[in-house]
Amino acid sequence: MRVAAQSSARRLAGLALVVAVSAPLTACAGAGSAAEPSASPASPATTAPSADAYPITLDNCGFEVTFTQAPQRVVTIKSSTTEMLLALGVGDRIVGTGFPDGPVPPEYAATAADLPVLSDRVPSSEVVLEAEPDLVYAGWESTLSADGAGDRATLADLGVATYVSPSACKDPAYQPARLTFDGVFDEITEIAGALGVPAAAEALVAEQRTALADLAPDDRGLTALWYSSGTDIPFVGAGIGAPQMIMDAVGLTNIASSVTDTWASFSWEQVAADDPDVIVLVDAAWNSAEAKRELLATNPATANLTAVLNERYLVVPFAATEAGVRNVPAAVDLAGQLADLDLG
Amino acid sequence: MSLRLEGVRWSVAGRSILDGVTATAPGARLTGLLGPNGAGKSSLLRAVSGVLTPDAGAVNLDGTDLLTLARRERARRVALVEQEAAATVPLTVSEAVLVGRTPHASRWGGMTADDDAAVAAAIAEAGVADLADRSLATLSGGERQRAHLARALAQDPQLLLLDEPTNHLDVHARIELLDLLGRLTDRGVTVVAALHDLNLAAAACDHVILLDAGRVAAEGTADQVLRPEVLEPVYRVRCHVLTHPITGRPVLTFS
Amino acid sequence: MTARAVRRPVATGVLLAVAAVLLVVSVTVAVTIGPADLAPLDVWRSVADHLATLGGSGPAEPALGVLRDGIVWEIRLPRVLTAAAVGAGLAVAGGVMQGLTRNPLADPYLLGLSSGASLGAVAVLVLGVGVLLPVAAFAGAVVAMVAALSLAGSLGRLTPARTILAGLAVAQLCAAGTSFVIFWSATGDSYREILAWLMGSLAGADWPAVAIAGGAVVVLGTGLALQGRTLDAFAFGDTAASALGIDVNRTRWTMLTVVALLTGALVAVSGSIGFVGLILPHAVRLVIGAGHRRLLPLSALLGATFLVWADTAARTVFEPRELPVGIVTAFLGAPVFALLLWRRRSAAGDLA
Repeated sequence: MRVAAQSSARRLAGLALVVAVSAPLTACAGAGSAAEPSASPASPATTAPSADAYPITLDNCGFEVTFTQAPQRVVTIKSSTTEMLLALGVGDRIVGTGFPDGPVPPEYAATAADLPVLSDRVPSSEVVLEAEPDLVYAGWESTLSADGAGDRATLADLGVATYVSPSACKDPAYQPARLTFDGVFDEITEIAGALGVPAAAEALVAEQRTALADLAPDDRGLTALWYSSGTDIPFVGAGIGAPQMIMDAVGLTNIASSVTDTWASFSWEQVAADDPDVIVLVDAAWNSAEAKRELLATNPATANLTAVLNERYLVVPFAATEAGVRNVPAAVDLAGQLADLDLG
Repeated sequence: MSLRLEGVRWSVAGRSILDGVTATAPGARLTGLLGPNGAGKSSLLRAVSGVLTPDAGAVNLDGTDLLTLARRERARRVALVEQEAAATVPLTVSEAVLVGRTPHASRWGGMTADDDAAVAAAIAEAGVADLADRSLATLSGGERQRAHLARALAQDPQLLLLDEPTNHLDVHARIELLDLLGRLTDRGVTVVAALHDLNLAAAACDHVILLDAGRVAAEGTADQVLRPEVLEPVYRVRCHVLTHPITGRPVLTFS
Repeated sequence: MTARAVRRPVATGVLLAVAAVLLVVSVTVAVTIGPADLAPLDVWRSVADHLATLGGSGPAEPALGVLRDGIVWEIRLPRVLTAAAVGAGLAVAGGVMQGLTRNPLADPYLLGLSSGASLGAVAVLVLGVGVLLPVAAFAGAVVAMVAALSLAGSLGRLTPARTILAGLAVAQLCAAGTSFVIFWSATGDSYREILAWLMGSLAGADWPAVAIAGGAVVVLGTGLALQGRTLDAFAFGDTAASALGIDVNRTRWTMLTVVALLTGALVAVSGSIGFVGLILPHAVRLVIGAGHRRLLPLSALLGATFLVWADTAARTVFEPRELPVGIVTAFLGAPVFALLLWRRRSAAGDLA
């Protein structure tokens, strides 16, 4: 009995650790989960409400959110949400940010510099409430939990609205098969409507649609690996998320497109077997493109890849790889980098 | 091959367990180690077998000081069968008996022809040949006791120590065990057995050492030691000694 | 009687030979299986060419082309060989731990080794401590071992119960440290890398990994596997072992240290793969009995074969995606373990 008890305690400790780790992991996967609000069964109207359209009720990831007036004090969690407000010209309504993925694009830098940072990770609900927000806008659904920024229902009881980037909904009914730019634009339109700035959304979406239309996909029939992170097991952009959407736009064939997931653990052996023409490196503060470049060159399993031997790399900032206002600029930027590649 | 103890002392956590034991177990004889619970019988056997190191005193086997011998060297001369020796050992009898060859094996060694012969002889002598491939865990108490004895015999000891070997044995198994011990002394092995059962000691032992609170209260033949005036102060009971009508050995009754 | 005593070692030899053949066949076949579609003959020829090159007579240009040849020689073969070495080492280490502590639930990680190694590895993965991950993991394992043995030893003689409890204390402390580092500092992608490491993974096993794991198994694992007689003596309890001329305390210290160094080396290259060290020895015991002279070498060979196939499953079942092999061993191991407990329900009163 004693023996069994001690060992199960040890196992339990291990289990607890795994659970502790896997919870945020799910969050990570959820963040990439593509959503296409217009395709969702309970999706709200996509037409922008006028300023006197309040109250506005949205079905957000299956949670009903009602706005009686335009939120004026917003807490944004994850870079994608912060940048959404900045792009819509309402950065001044941000009373706190949390969990930044990296620096904001240069055009927002001046505004962003003054934003109060609540936490470089998920802020606790007390910290969020201390900022007295009327809206918490989260890039990952999992951050809106009791042990995170606060439970959605609890926040609602306190008069704080919550909104999750629809592409990050975890409920399968709200998580469509494949992220599209239309889905991204729908989110821009929806949140702008809730914020009472539909015109800003119209302008932004029109501008991004034009940029997208002007983007000429590469026609050389190139294959690519979207290398996000991982050393022993590469973690790559797979078939249904923002990486796939962006690669489609720039004319790259994703070697991991057959995997029905946003991001996925892949195998170096499969990479070597497919020998992609180019490799897209995700640049994050904790996992830089430079580090990945070095790893690819020194790992005997990858050193002889065509893309590695010829240094055919494209670099994309991590914050631009989550669904949001930076996807289109990222696609344009990648297309430019791709065009500059001399495949000899 | 007599065993000579001189002033053996051992204490644990300030409590004296063996308080200067001086006694002799004659060679090629069965010596009974008697005494009430807590008298120090098991500790004395452990001290002789080297499981514990006495604080003071000497342990001589045929003139050799066992305390100064290397462990393996001592284990080639002295074997110990513990009280209620591990019942759940999942080895087969022959595997268990082979373990008795440990002090004779080289550090990295496998089986040698000597091992084979010694194991076979020990199994035969202890009468467990029929059980050789059975797991120890499936044996009856008497069978298991004989298997443990076979393991000790595989050590090829000059001195065999047994701690309460007859506990949990039925009458038949006890008689068999005593017969076996008799055969061992006949071929020159010195046997010392800690015993609870005074009548068993009276019936079988050539020599008796009576311990009380870590000291030797009496020592001698069964006739000399197993007398009311010796036993009563040690066991604190009324005791009567009769004479066995056939063997002529003492028979004890208590009240 | 003599006939029986003689027949046993022969039977052991046959068992070991069969297990060895099984391992060689498994390695040979497993190396032909993978996400990349390579013909078995091409794979073997690639390996043969490389072996010939090592001998100085191979072809200058790989027949398969640089990349496909790299798949065989740089990815698959080192990985399969590392799996074999790690499986063998964990199985031996587990069998020895169970024997030394007379605890059926003991495993190679008993002294807090996996927790210590995890702390070292997580420190590298999350905090970016500037050393190689295997070095940090090994250092963590050794520190945990020293802490556990020091604690157990400071209590007096190194009894099984003290060993287990001291290991538990160290494991809990390291686990808390690991959780703290993860909770406090891990960002985005590092969670998944940590999880993969904690579950144990052979992805990324390269030739240095083969050298580390293989070297540790050949030197330390073989040494342990030859201690069967001593461990059989331990089965009778510390008193009996001592009366058999074994210095119980010193032997236990030495063997625990060797197990810890071996396990530390394995953990350094593969993370803490579960269940192999716990289950394999039990499974082998069920078939051939508990005598350590047979148990340990046979566990080594079967553990190697088991992990080779578990890892083959990990890298191919969901291809082109990968699973940490620890998940596969747990999936296979947990039901076996449950069955084992069920089968022992009557025999093992101490487990009830």
